[in-house]
Amino acid sequence: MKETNEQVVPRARKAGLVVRDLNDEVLVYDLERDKAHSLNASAAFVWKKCNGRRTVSDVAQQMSKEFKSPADDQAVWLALDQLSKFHLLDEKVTRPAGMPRISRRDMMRVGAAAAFALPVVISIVAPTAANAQTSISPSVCNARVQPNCGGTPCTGGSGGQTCQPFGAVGAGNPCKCQ
Amino acid sequence: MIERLPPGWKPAPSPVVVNMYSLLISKPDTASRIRRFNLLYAGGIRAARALDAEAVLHTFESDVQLYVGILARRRIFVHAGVVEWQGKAIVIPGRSMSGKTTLTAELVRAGATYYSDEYAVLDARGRVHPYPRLLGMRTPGEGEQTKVRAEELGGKVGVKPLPIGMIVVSQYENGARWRPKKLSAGQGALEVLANTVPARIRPEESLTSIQQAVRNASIVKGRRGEAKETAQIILEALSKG
Repeated sequence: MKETNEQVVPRARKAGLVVRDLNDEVLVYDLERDKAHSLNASAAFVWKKCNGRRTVSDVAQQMSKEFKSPADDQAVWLALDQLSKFHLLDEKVTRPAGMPRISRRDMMRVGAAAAFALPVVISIVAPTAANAQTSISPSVCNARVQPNCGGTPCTGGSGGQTCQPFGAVGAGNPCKCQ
Repeated sequence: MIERLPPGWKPAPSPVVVNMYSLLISKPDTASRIRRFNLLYAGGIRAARALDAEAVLHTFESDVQLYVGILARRRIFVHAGVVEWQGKAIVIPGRSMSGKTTLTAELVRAGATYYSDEYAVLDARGRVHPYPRLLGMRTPGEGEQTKVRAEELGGKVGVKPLPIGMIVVSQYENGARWRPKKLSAGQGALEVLANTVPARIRPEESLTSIQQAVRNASIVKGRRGEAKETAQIILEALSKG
Protein backbone atom coordinates (compact mmCIF):
# COMPACT_ATOMS: atom_id res chain seq x y z
CA MET A 1 0.00 0.00 0.00
CA LYS A 2 1.22 3.48 -0.82
CA GLU A 3 -0.10 6.77 0.43
CA THR A 4 -0.09 9.82 -1.80
CA ASN A 5 -1.02 13.08 -0.08
CA GLU A 6 -2.59 10.95 2.61
CA GLN A 7 -4.61 9.11 -0.03
CA VAL A 8 -4.56 5.35 0.36
CA VAL A 9 -3.68 3.51 -2.86
CA PRO A 10 -4.14 -0.21 -2.17
CA ARG A 11 -2.65 -2.92 -4.36
CA ALA A 12 -4.21 -6.35 -4.81
CA ARG A 13 -1.97 -9.25 -3.85
CA LYS A 14 -1.04 -11.49 -6.79
CA ALA A 15 1.65 -13.83 -5.46
CA GLY A 16 0.70 -17.15 -3.96
CA LEU A 17 -2.92 -17.01 -5.06
CA VAL A 18 -4.99 -19.13 -7.40
CA VAL A 19 -7.78 -17.00 -8.86
CA ARG A 20 -10.85 -18.12 -10.78
CA ASP A 21 -13.66 -15.92 -12.08
CA LEU A 22 -17.15 -17.18 -11.36
CA ASN A 23 -19.67 -15.16 -13.32
CA ASP A 24 -19.26 -11.76 -11.61
CA GLU A 25 -17.77 -13.24 -8.44
CA VAL A 26 -14.20 -14.33 -7.83
CA LEU A 27 -12.90 -17.46 -6.15
CA VAL A 28 -9.44 -17.16 -4.58
CA TYR A 29 -7.21 -19.84 -3.04
CA ASP A 30 -4.39 -18.65 -0.79
CA LEU A 31 -1.54 -21.14 -1.27
CA GLU A 32 0.36 -19.80 1.73
CA ARG A 33 -2.48 -20.15 4.21
CA ASP A 34 -4.57 -22.90 2.59
CA LYS A 35 -7.64 -20.74 2.76
CA ALA A 36 -10.25 -20.15 0.07
CA HIS A 37 -12.26 -16.98 -0.36
CA SER A 38 -15.33 -16.06 -2.33
CA LEU A 39 -15.58 -12.39 -3.28
CA ASN A 40 -19.02 -11.19 -4.30
CA ALA A 41 -19.38 -8.89 -7.31
CA SER A 42 -18.66 -5.61 -5.55
CA ALA A 43 -15.78 -6.98 -3.45
CA ALA A 44 -14.31 -8.56 -6.60
CA PHE A 45 -14.64 -5.26 -8.46
CA VAL A 46 -12.81 -3.33 -5.74
CA TRP A 47 -10.09 -6.00 -5.53
CA LYS A 48 -9.48 -5.94 -9.28
CA LYS A 49 -9.23 -2.16 -9.28
CA CYS A 50 -6.57 -2.08 -6.56
CA ASN A 51 -3.48 -1.56 -8.71
CA GLY A 52 -1.35 0.53 -6.38
CA ARG A 53 -2.13 3.73 -8.31
CA ARG A 54 -5.84 4.29 -7.84
CA THR A 55 -6.99 6.00 -4.67
CA VAL A 56 -9.99 4.86 -2.69
CA SER A 57 -11.99 7.73 -4.19
CA ASP A 58 -10.95 6.69 -7.70
CA VAL A 59 -12.21 3.17 -7.05
CA ALA A 60 -15.45 4.55 -5.58
CA GLN A 61 -16.03 6.59 -8.75
CA GLN A 62 -15.44 3.58 -10.98
CA MET A 63 -17.71 1.52 -8.77
CA SER A 64 -20.49 4.07 -9.24
CA LYS A 65 -20.10 3.82 -13.01
CA GLU A 66 -19.90 0.04 -13.08
CA PHE A 67 -22.92 -0.55 -10.88
CA LYS A 68 -24.81 2.55 -12.07
CA SER A 69 -25.41 3.57 -8.50
CA PRO A 70 -23.71 6.07 -6.19
CA ALA A 71 -20.88 4.46 -4.25
CA ASP A 72 -18.85 6.42 -1.73
CA ASP A 73 -15.50 5.79 -0.09
CA GLN A 74 -17.21 3.91 2.74
CA ALA A 75 -18.40 1.19 0.35
CA VAL A 76 -14.84 0.78 -0.94
CA TRP A 77 -13.46 0.71 2.59
CA LEU A 78 -15.96 -1.96 3.51
CA ALA A 79 -14.35 -4.12 0.81
CA LEU A 80 -10.80 -3.08 1.70
CA ASP A 81 -11.29 -3.94 5.37
CA GLN A 82 -12.22 -7.48 4.42
CA LEU A 83 -9.60 -7.84 1.68
CA SER A 84 -6.96 -6.65 4.13
CA LYS A 85 -8.17 -8.99 6.87
CA PHE A 86 -7.94 -11.98 4.53
CA HIS A 87 -4.46 -11.02 3.26
CA LEU A 88 -5.66 -10.27 -0.27
CA LEU A 89 -3.81 -6.96 -0.47
CA ASP A 90 -0.06 -6.53 -0.78
CA GLU A 91 -0.01 -4.57 2.44
CA LYS A 92 -2.55 -4.03 5.14
CA VAL A 93 -4.58 -0.86 4.75
CA THR A 94 -5.78 1.38 7.52
CA ARG A 95 -8.49 3.96 7.26
CA PRO A 96 -7.38 7.58 7.35
CA ALA A 97 -7.68 9.27 10.71
CA GLY A 98 -11.15 10.60 11.18
CA MET A 99 -12.86 8.00 9.02
CA PRO A 100 -14.88 5.80 11.33
CA ARG A 101 -15.36 2.12 10.65
CA ILE A 102 -18.94 1.54 9.52
CA SER A 103 -20.39 -1.92 9.67
CA ARG A 104 -22.17 -3.55 6.79
CA ARG A 105 -25.36 -3.41 8.82
CA ASP A 106 -25.00 0.34 9.34
CA MET A 107 -24.37 0.86 5.65
CA MET A 108 -27.49 -1.07 4.77
CA ARG A 109 -29.45 0.94 7.32
CA VAL A 110 -28.54 4.27 5.77
CA GLY A 111 -29.27 2.85 2.35
CA ALA A 112 -25.83 3.37 0.95
CA ALA A 113 -25.02 1.33 -2.14
CA ALA A 114 -28.64 0.30 -2.40
CA ALA A 115 -28.43 -0.68 -6.04
CA PHE A 116 -25.67 -3.27 -5.60
CA ALA A 117 -24.89 -5.89 -3.03
CA LEU A 118 -22.44 -4.58 -0.46
CA PRO A 119 -18.94 -6.04 -0.66
CA VAL A 120 -18.67 -9.40 1.07
CA VAL A 121 -15.75 -11.80 1.32
CA ILE A 122 -16.52 -15.30 2.62
CA SER A 123 -13.65 -17.48 3.70
CA ILE A 124 -13.02 -21.12 4.61
CA VAL A 125 -9.98 -23.14 5.62
CA ALA A 126 -9.33 -25.73 2.91
CA PRO A 127 -9.73 -29.26 4.23
CA THR A 128 -6.85 -31.70 4.38
CA ALA A 129 -7.48 -34.96 2.54
CA ALA A 130 -8.00 -36.72 5.87
CA ASN A 131 -10.42 -34.04 7.05
CA ALA A 132 -12.41 -34.36 3.89
CA GLN A 133 -12.58 -38.09 4.47
CA THR A 134 -15.83 -39.55 5.56
CA SER A 135 -16.23 -40.36 9.23
CA ILE A 136 -16.48 -43.93 10.37
CA SER A 137 -18.15 -46.18 12.89
CA PRO A 138 -16.74 -46.63 16.43
CA SER A 139 -15.39 -50.12 15.79
CA VAL A 140 -13.68 -49.05 12.57
CA CYS A 141 -12.31 -45.93 14.22
CA ASN A 142 -10.97 -47.93 17.15
CA ALA A 143 -9.29 -50.38 14.77
CA ARG A 144 -7.53 -47.70 12.78
CA VAL A 145 -3.88 -46.87 13.21
CA GLN A 146 -2.71 -43.55 11.80
CA PRO A 147 0.91 -42.75 10.99
CA ASN A 148 2.58 -40.75 13.78
CA CYS A 149 0.31 -42.19 16.39
CA GLY A 150 2.65 -44.50 18.19
CA GLY A 151 1.61 -47.57 16.24
CA THR A 152 -1.47 -48.20 18.36
CA PRO A 153 -5.09 -48.18 17.23
CA CYS A 154 -7.29 -45.16 17.80
CA THR A 155 -9.29 -44.83 20.98
CA GLY A 156 -12.50 -43.22 22.11
CA GLY A 157 -14.79 -43.81 19.14
CA SER A 158 -18.42 -42.95 19.59
CA GLY A 159 -19.64 -42.92 16.01
CA GLY A 160 -19.49 -40.49 13.13
CA GLN A 161 -15.89 -39.58 13.79
CA THR A 162 -12.50 -39.86 12.17
CA CYS A 163 -9.27 -41.13 13.63
CA GLN A 164 -6.92 -38.19 14.05
CA PRO A 165 -3.76 -37.38 15.97
CA PHE A 166 -4.61 -35.96 19.37
CA GLY A 167 -2.39 -33.16 20.52
CA ALA A 168 1.11 -32.84 19.10
CA VAL A 169 1.82 -35.15 16.19
CA GLY A 170 4.78 -37.39 16.79
CA ALA A 171 5.93 -40.88 17.62
CA GLY A 172 4.29 -42.20 20.74
CA ASN A 173 1.34 -39.85 20.66
CA PRO A 174 -1.97 -41.70 20.44
CA CYS A 175 -4.69 -41.02 17.93
CA LYS A 176 -8.23 -40.48 19.08
CA CYS A 177 -11.55 -40.75 17.35
CA GLN A 178 -12.64 -37.17 17.07
CA MET B 1 -13.28 -58.30 -0.84
CA ILE B 2 -13.91 -57.45 -4.50
CA GLU B 3 -16.89 -55.29 -3.52
CA ARG B 4 -14.64 -53.21 -1.31
CA LEU B 5 -12.41 -52.14 -4.19
CA PRO B 6 -13.11 -48.73 -5.74
CA PRO B 7 -15.73 -48.76 -8.52
CA GLY B 8 -14.15 -49.22 -11.94
CA TRP B 9 -11.09 -51.09 -10.64
CA LYS B 10 -9.22 -53.30 -13.06
CA PRO B 11 -6.03 -55.36 -12.95
CA ALA B 12 -2.98 -53.21 -13.67
CA PRO B 13 -0.85 -54.23 -16.65
CA SER B 14 2.27 -52.79 -15.01
CA PRO B 15 4.25 -54.97 -12.58
CA VAL B 16 5.22 -51.84 -10.61
CA VAL B 17 3.54 -51.71 -7.18
CA VAL B 18 2.62 -48.16 -6.20
CA ASN B 19 1.09 -48.96 -2.85
CA MET B 20 0.74 -52.31 -1.13
CA TYR B 21 -1.92 -53.40 1.32
CA SER B 22 -1.59 -56.56 3.37
CA LEU B 23 -4.58 -58.06 5.12
CA LEU B 24 -4.21 -60.69 7.80
CA ILE B 25 -7.60 -62.14 8.67
CA SER B 26 -7.45 -64.63 11.50
CA LYS B 27 -9.60 -67.72 11.72
CA PRO B 28 -12.04 -67.63 14.58
CA ASP B 29 -10.91 -70.06 17.28
CA THR B 30 -13.40 -70.32 20.11
CA ALA B 31 -11.40 -73.04 21.85
CA SER B 32 -8.32 -70.88 22.31
CA ARG B 33 -7.94 -68.14 24.91
CA ILE B 34 -5.55 -66.28 22.66
CA ARG B 35 -7.13 -63.20 21.10
CA ARG B 36 -6.46 -63.29 17.41
CA PHE B 37 -6.36 -59.84 15.90
CA ASN B 38 -7.12 -59.04 12.30
CA LEU B 39 -4.53 -56.74 10.80
CA LEU B 40 -4.21 -54.33 7.92
CA TYR B 41 -0.91 -52.96 6.71
CA ALA B 42 -0.75 -50.09 4.23
CA GLY B 43 2.62 -49.45 2.62
CA GLY B 44 4.34 -51.43 5.35
CA ILE B 45 2.67 -49.46 8.15
CA ARG B 46 0.03 -51.03 10.32
CA ALA B 47 -3.21 -49.28 9.45
CA ALA B 48 -5.72 -51.25 11.51
CA ARG B 49 -5.86 -53.88 14.22
CA ALA B 50 -9.09 -55.31 15.57
CA LEU B 51 -10.77 -58.50 16.67
CA ASP B 52 -13.64 -57.57 14.37
CA ALA B 53 -12.59 -58.45 10.81
CA GLU B 54 -15.33 -56.21 9.40
CA ALA B 55 -13.75 -53.15 11.03
CA VAL B 56 -10.40 -53.93 9.42
CA LEU B 57 -11.99 -54.54 6.03
CA HIS B 58 -13.87 -51.24 6.28
CA THR B 59 -10.60 -49.44 7.03
CA PHE B 60 -9.10 -51.06 3.95
CA GLU B 61 -12.05 -49.93 1.83
CA SER B 62 -12.02 -46.32 3.02
CA ASP B 63 -8.21 -46.08 2.85
CA VAL B 64 -8.09 -47.36 -0.72
CA GLN B 65 -10.86 -45.00 -1.79
CA LEU B 66 -9.16 -42.03 -0.16
CA TYR B 67 -5.84 -43.03 -1.72
CA VAL B 68 -7.46 -43.13 -5.16
CA GLY B 69 -9.16 -39.79 -4.45
CA ILE B 70 -5.84 -38.18 -3.57
CA LEU B 71 -3.84 -39.60 -6.48
CA ALA B 72 -6.42 -39.62 -9.28
CA ARG B 73 -5.07 -37.64 -12.20
CA ARG B 74 -7.44 -35.42 -14.20
CA ARG B 75 -10.20 -36.05 -11.63
CA ILE B 76 -11.21 -34.19 -8.48
CA PHE B 77 -12.91 -36.22 -5.76
CA VAL B 78 -15.50 -34.36 -3.70
CA HIS B 79 -17.32 -35.96 -0.78
CA ALA B 80 -20.87 -35.96 -2.05
CA GLY B 81 -23.85 -38.04 -2.99
CA VAL B 82 -24.75 -37.85 -6.69
CA VAL B 83 -27.81 -38.83 -8.72
CA GLU B 84 -28.96 -38.03 -12.25
CA TRP B 85 -32.31 -36.45 -13.03
CA GLN B 86 -33.40 -35.44 -16.52
CA GLY B 87 -29.88 -35.47 -17.89
CA LYS B 88 -28.28 -33.42 -15.12
CA ALA B 89 -26.55 -34.30 -11.89
CA ILE B 90 -27.85 -33.45 -8.45
CA VAL B 91 -24.86 -33.21 -6.14
CA ILE B 92 -25.19 -33.37 -2.35
CA PRO B 93 -21.84 -32.42 -0.80
CA GLY B 94 -21.24 -33.24 2.84
CA ARG B 95 -19.34 -35.23 5.38
CA SER B 96 -20.64 -38.38 6.96
CA MET B 97 -23.63 -38.13 9.24
CA SER B 98 -24.94 -35.12 7.30
CA GLY B 99 -27.48 -37.51 5.81
CA LYS B 100 -26.20 -37.42 2.25
CA THR B 101 -26.50 -41.17 1.71
CA THR B 102 -30.06 -41.17 3.09
CA LEU B 103 -31.07 -38.36 0.75
CA THR B 104 -29.26 -39.98 -2.16
CA ALA B 105 -31.11 -43.24 -1.49
CA GLU B 106 -34.49 -41.47 -1.37
CA LEU B 107 -33.76 -39.70 -4.64
CA VAL B 108 -32.99 -43.09 -6.20
CA ARG B 109 -36.19 -44.55 -4.75
CA ALA B 110 -38.06 -41.59 -6.30
CA GLY B 111 -36.71 -42.44 -9.75
CA ALA B 112 -33.33 -40.72 -10.03
CA THR B 113 -30.36 -42.65 -11.43
CA TYR B 114 -27.63 -43.54 -8.95
CA TYR B 115 -24.10 -42.19 -9.41
CA SER B 116 -22.52 -42.28 -5.95
CA ASP B 117 -23.18 -41.93 -2.25
CA GLU B 118 -19.60 -41.01 -1.43
CA TYR B 119 -17.74 -39.12 -4.13
CA ALA B 120 -18.66 -36.69 -6.88
CA VAL B 121 -15.82 -37.31 -9.31
CA LEU B 122 -15.30 -34.10 -11.30
CA ASP B 123 -13.35 -33.62 -14.50
CA ALA B 124 -11.78 -30.37 -15.70
CA ARG B 125 -15.01 -29.44 -17.49
CA GLY B 126 -16.92 -29.72 -14.24
CA ARG B 127 -18.83 -32.83 -15.29
CA VAL B 128 -19.57 -35.56 -12.74
CA HIS B 129 -18.50 -39.14 -13.47
CA PRO B 130 -20.17 -42.17 -11.91
CA TYR B 131 -18.59 -43.70 -8.81
CA PRO B 132 -21.28 -46.26 -8.06
CA ARG B 133 -20.05 -48.05 -4.98
CA LEU B 134 -22.62 -49.85 -2.84
CA LEU B 135 -24.64 -47.41 -0.76
CA GLY B 136 -23.54 -47.39 2.88
CA MET B 137 -26.87 -47.10 4.69
CA ARG B 138 -26.86 -46.42 8.42
CA THR B 139 -29.57 -47.44 10.84
CA PRO B 140 -30.77 -44.31 12.66
CA GLY B 141 -28.65 -43.71 15.76
CA GLU B 142 -26.08 -46.31 14.75
CA GLY B 143 -22.63 -45.80 13.31
CA GLU B 144 -22.42 -49.14 11.51
CA GLN B 145 -23.27 -49.33 7.82
CA THR B 146 -25.20 -51.83 5.76
CA LYS B 147 -24.23 -52.10 2.10
CA VAL B 148 -27.10 -51.79 -0.37
CA ARG B 149 -27.16 -51.97 -4.17
CA ALA B 150 -28.97 -49.21 -6.07
CA GLU B 151 -31.05 -51.92 -7.75
CA GLU B 152 -32.35 -52.99 -4.33
CA LEU B 153 -33.81 -49.48 -4.01
CA GLY B 154 -35.52 -49.86 -7.37
CA GLY B 155 -32.97 -47.67 -9.12
CA LYS B 156 -30.40 -48.03 -11.83
CA VAL B 157 -26.78 -46.98 -12.06
CA GLY B 158 -25.56 -44.20 -14.35
CA VAL B 159 -22.68 -44.61 -16.76
CA LYS B 160 -22.16 -41.26 -18.52
CA PRO B 161 -20.52 -38.07 -17.22
CA LEU B 162 -23.04 -35.28 -16.55
CA PRO B 163 -23.13 -31.51 -16.10
CA ILE B 164 -24.38 -30.43 -12.69
CA GLY B 165 -27.95 -29.12 -12.55
CA MET B 166 -28.27 -28.65 -8.83
CA ILE B 167 -26.10 -28.62 -5.73
CA VAL B 168 -27.96 -29.36 -2.50
CA VAL B 169 -26.22 -28.42 0.75
CA SER B 170 -28.34 -29.90 3.48
CA GLN B 171 -28.16 -31.00 7.07
CA TYR B 172 -30.70 -33.31 8.64
CA GLU B 173 -32.66 -31.85 11.54
CA ASN B 174 -35.54 -33.70 13.12
CA GLY B 175 -38.81 -31.98 12.24
CA ALA B 176 -37.25 -29.38 9.92
CA ARG B 177 -39.01 -28.34 6.72
CA TRP B 178 -37.03 -28.04 3.51
CA ARG B 179 -37.05 -24.31 2.79
CA PRO B 180 -33.62 -23.75 1.32
CA LYS B 181 -32.04 -20.43 0.44
CA LYS B 182 -30.31 -19.92 -2.87
CA LEU B 183 -26.56 -19.56 -2.84
CA SER B 184 -24.44 -17.71 -5.37
CA ALA B 185 -21.93 -19.59 -7.50
CA GLY B 186 -19.11 -18.34 -5.28
CA GLN B 187 -20.81 -19.44 -2.08
CA GLY B 188 -21.60 -22.80 -3.66
CA ALA B 189 -18.01 -23.20 -4.78
CA LEU B 190 -16.81 -22.84 -1.18
CA GLU B 191 -19.35 -25.44 -0.03
CA VAL B 192 -17.97 -27.86 -2.62
CA LEU B 193 -14.34 -27.01 -1.88
CA ALA B 194 -14.91 -27.68 1.83
CA ASN B 195 -15.55 -31.32 0.86
CA THR B 196 -12.85 -31.68 -1.79
CA VAL B 197 -10.27 -34.39 -1.09
CA PRO B 198 -7.27 -32.87 -2.96
CA ALA B 199 -8.15 -29.24 -2.09
CA ARG B 200 -4.75 -28.62 -0.53
CA ILE B 201 -2.81 -31.08 -2.66
CA ARG B 202 -3.97 -29.78 -6.07
CA PRO B 203 -5.72 -26.46 -5.42
CA GLU B 204 -5.38 -25.17 -9.00
CA GLU B 205 -7.02 -28.23 -10.55
CA SER B 206 -9.60 -28.34 -7.77
CA LEU B 207 -10.62 -24.73 -8.34
CA THR B 208 -10.79 -25.20 -12.11
CA SER B 209 -13.11 -28.21 -11.82
CA ILE B 210 -15.27 -26.54 -9.18
CA GLN B 211 -15.45 -23.30 -11.19
CA GLN B 212 -16.81 -25.22 -14.17
CA ALA B 213 -19.05 -27.43 -12.04
CA VAL B 214 -20.92 -24.64 -10.23
CA ARG B 215 -21.08 -22.12 -13.08
CA ASN B 216 -24.50 -23.14 -14.37
CA ALA B 217 -25.82 -25.04 -11.38
CA SER B 218 -28.64 -24.00 -9.12
CA ILE B 219 -27.25 -24.08 -5.57
CA VAL B 220 -29.45 -24.34 -2.49
CA LYS B 221 -28.73 -24.72 1.21
CA GLY B 222 -30.91 -25.49 4.18
CA ARG B 223 -31.97 -27.84 6.93
CA ARG B 224 -34.08 -30.73 5.92
CA GLY B 225 -36.42 -33.07 7.73
CA GLU B 226 -37.33 -36.46 6.35
CA ALA B 227 -35.32 -37.38 3.27
CA LYS B 228 -38.29 -38.81 1.39
CA GLU B 229 -40.20 -35.52 1.48
CA THR B 230 -37.10 -33.49 0.62
CA ALA B 231 -36.29 -35.76 -2.32
CA GLN B 232 -39.76 -35.25 -3.78
CA ILE B 233 -39.50 -31.47 -3.44
CA ILE B 234 -36.06 -31.42 -5.08
CA LEU B 235 -37.14 -33.52 -8.06
CA GLU B 236 -40.34 -31.50 -8.53
CA ALA B 237 -38.36 -28.25 -8.46
CA LEU B 238 -35.97 -29.57 -11.09
CA SER B 239 -38.78 -30.92 -13.26
CA LYS B 240 -40.41 -27.47 -13.29
CA GLY B 241 -37.07 -25.98 -14.30
